[in-house]
Amino acid sequence: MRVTSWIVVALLVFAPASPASAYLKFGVRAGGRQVALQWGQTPVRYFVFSGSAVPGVSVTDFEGAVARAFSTWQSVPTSSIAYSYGGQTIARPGEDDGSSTLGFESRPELDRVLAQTSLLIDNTNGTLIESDIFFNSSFDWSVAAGGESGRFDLESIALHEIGHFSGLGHSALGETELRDGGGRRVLSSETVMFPIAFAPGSIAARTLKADDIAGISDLYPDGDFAQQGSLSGRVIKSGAGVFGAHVIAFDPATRKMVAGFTLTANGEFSIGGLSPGPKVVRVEPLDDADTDSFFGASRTVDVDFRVLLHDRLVVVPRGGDSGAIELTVVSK
Amino acid sequence: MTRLCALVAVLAWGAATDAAAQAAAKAGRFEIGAGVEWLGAADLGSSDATETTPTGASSPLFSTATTLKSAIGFQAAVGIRITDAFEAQAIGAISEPALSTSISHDIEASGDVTATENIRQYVIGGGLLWYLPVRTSPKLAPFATGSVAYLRQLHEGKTLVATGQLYRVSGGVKYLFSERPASRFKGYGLRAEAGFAARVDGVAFDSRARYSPWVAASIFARFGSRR
Repeated sequence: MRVTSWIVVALLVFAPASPASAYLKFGVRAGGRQVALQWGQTPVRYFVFSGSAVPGVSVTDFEGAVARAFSTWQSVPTSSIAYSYGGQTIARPGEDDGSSTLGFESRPELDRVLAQTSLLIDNTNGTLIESDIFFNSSFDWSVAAGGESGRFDLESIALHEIGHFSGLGHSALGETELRDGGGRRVLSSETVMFPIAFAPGSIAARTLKADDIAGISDLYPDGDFAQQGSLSGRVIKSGAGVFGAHVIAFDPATRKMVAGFTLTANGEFSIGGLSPGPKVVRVEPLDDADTDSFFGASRTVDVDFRVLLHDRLVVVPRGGDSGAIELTVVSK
Repeated sequence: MTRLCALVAVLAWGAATDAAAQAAAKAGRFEIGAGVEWLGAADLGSSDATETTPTGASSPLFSTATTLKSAIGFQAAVGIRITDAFEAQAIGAISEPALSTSISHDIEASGDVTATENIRQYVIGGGLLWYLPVRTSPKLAPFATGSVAYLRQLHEGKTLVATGQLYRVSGGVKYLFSERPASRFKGYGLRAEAGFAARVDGVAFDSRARYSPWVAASIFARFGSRR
């Protein structure tokens, strides 16, 4: 008998907190061990709910926007992920029917949730069975090529949700500021997997960044991904590991940033999908952030340390690992 | 125009010189030498870590500027006389310059930081040395030389290799301390030179040539057939 469970991930309009930077894979317990959540077979077939029409966006517009977003992920040369369109369906997103469906749903009670992805998992092996995405029709949407003032860009939001659909968690490469009246506004980000969306009218999140490309390639490696390297090590404070620290690797030659988190109590991290060469390493806390956007609520994330710029360039070899480095941070 | 005039002047002067003045240059057919060199720093460029704003513009997270620092290294050369005035040379050098990245203007960190790694740099190549036809003391031989070399740079930990080319032009003098015309060992002396080196590719971020000053000093020994 197959044992399944659902994971739900939401993209927020104005998050009540501010995360920092990196790609993160969903980890699940399967067969007594921790595995990365992913599709077992590709192409992954998806359907569009036939009732997916809102003012300014017809069902055909919806199909076109999500097709472009799927195509953007599929065109990553170092990833094997592929998708195929199965057509329209009368099933709504969220129905446990074995079909992955995308569509609009009216959810006015979720006043900060633009869209949400639900992932149905086979707990015996950690593979995805079904992935549904709903876009909240309580907000105003647009599929205009250049964006539309006051309306969220469907293609940008779909690109983010399809990252979840494919097995990626939230990344934290972004900066926010507090808004009057609560919540946070995104000032900038360098990943489409940032948990808070750009303001209405923006189409800046239609393009994948290095962090997103590293993440999807790490999950579904292909092409010359094996020639990429990784950077690993520990973040420690007062001799103990730091959980949830955000570690950024910046390549001064390519100007690309890829990041990761410390994911164990010992403060260990590993960032894959890096181009070979020396990297600048920066460590920052997920301070004043809703760390639930990245980790389960049961995990305690240490945010009491200062930003660290490592005083060594760390060399990432071709197809190998940097060797464990130790990054010592100090309390604020 | 200035360079052309200087070259013409040297050639005109050289034509009037006495061949006997090159005694120091002529002793021996083979030459081996070893010594130290200093290769100046090379600016590899600046780059910002940026994020994208909602309008699509870039917003800096921090700035970096990277330099391959100057370094003292060891060098060796083997020469063979091909005419009275020209010598073909094989050259090799090893040094360990630091790759240094200055990190500044971080939006959250309080101070600037310099991150470094040590590069092991190997140079192996060949060139031509020309004994300038100018009047000097019998023991002193001025020369000009140019060389092309393969550049191999190993990042720290020797886990990653970057390759490129090194082009060098220099001028200097050889001073012969002793001369033994009747022996196979023709003598030994000091070679001192200065010039410029251009490094292409290697650890650089692009294929633009990076020019650096270069100076070297070495001890050489000469060999040849018995008279």
